[in-house]
Amino acid sequence: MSKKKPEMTIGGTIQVDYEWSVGNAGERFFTEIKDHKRIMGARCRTCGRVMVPPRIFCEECFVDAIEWVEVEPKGTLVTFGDCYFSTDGKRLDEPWILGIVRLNGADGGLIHFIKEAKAEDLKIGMPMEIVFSDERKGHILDISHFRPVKESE
Amino acid sequence: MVMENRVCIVGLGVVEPGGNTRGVAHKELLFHATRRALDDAGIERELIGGAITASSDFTEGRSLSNQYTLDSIGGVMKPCDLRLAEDGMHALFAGYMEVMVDPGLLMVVAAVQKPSERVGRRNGFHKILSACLDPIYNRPICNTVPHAESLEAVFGAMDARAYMERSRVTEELLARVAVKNINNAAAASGEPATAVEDVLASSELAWPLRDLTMAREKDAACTLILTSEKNAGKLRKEPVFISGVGWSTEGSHLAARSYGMSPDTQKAAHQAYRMAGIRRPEKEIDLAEVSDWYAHRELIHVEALGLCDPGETVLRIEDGGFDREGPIPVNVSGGLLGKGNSLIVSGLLRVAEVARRIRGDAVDVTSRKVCVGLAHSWGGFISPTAGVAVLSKW
Repeated sequence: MSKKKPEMTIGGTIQVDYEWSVGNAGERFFTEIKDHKRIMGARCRTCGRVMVPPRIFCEECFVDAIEWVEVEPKGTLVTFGDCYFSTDGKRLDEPWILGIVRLNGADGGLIHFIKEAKAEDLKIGMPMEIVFSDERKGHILDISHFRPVKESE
Repeated sequence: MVMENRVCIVGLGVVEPGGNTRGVAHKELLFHATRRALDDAGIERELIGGAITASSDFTEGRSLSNQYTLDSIGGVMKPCDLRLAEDGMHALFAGYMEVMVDPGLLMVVAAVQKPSERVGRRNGFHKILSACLDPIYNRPICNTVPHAESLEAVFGAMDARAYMERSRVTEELLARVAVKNINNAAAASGEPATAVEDVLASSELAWPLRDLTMAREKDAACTLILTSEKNAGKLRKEPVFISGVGWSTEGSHLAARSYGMSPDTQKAAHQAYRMAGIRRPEKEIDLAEVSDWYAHRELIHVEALGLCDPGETVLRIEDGGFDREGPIPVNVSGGLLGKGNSLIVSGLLRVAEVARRIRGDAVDVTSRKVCVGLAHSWGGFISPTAGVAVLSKW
């Protein structure tokens, strides 16, 4: 058997580090989560929709007239995806789930992990709530995860 | 009204996805596609009036990657050049506009992709996907998932689940879409046929996405030559007319986008149909090549393009309505599922595939004549952008 000549290549990596500004809206959003476990949305004074994540301008009305409103840390499940398999095809003991939740009264949504639930118990449109992390430092991971709203509550 | 400045395709060159590109450099791939397009049109570089290249820095590992591709499309020191970071379909749109402004121009529009140069499992696409997302609200979560390589499949699953919730499309029907496209590609290359059972037995990545219902990245390059109808008369190939174009993009917030539907495709199609004077796309379009990056996306797209009433999708799949011999064949070429996904190139390749079928020189021509065809592109979760081009024989 003849050996294939190896392909001649040149290796390399590009690594550049950044510090991204969270912006005025992000600063308020993350500070409220960190200090008060509160979700703040930006209401457009023109169309009235409440944007979460917040921004200082409404891309629909294209104005920067917003007011801050508190949004309940509860909403509905827009969709979710669950991963039961590692990439080499082995079934995972602990599957992980990502979901999108639209908070009540808000436009848009947040993407985060879903925990304290099995994928088979989840249904699009079901009520969900945010669980905050105990240790918070002004970051999206100050939200620990979403979970289904418990029926007793 | 005589429209002497109607824009048409007068040459095309393709390095097919999935071919042997071992030892061929990225720049060489695009050169080969462009040389073939020039030969197809019967012209040489000095006649090129302008050149537009589409590429994406992260996927290619080069910052300002288009600098490297301009040489390969004959664009160096030409009076007009543009370099876009979107699917090559958008290079077609930009080239279209250039020819509208100057009907004497011969424009080269092109795109290339060589994912096989990326090192690592699944070619590191998950890193690119994560790097394309907002770094404040989305990326930290995507960077902490336990199996980053499954990220794309989980996003695909979120979208598919939302689609399946609102349609009545089952996993088996999604498998039928994949089988159609895989077998369309296999028919052209003589490979053995795949069955629905094979698709359903392929590895589950994130329900309902499986190994065979998610397109894999492949190397490819595609170049088209555009000019006006008046100018086309001097060239040797029968022109294929671009009778309508449209494009649209959803907002950047990942969690605020639409799942299980494609309003960007709908808007792009609306623009393209208005330009092309198409009122009933399901009756007037003979054949479509649409993005089937994931099997369910083909269905989302045919619905958004108005090729199928959402209430009839299930029936249409069961009746083979999108098959090679069906009323509107979709992805006769094999699409992305059958031939592979070449990010940035896939949309422009769809245009080339439709143009070949209108010219009648595709290797896998259907029994019918194609007079009006549609090509569609979708940027995936990295870019919620859709493009539509309507091509016609006359």
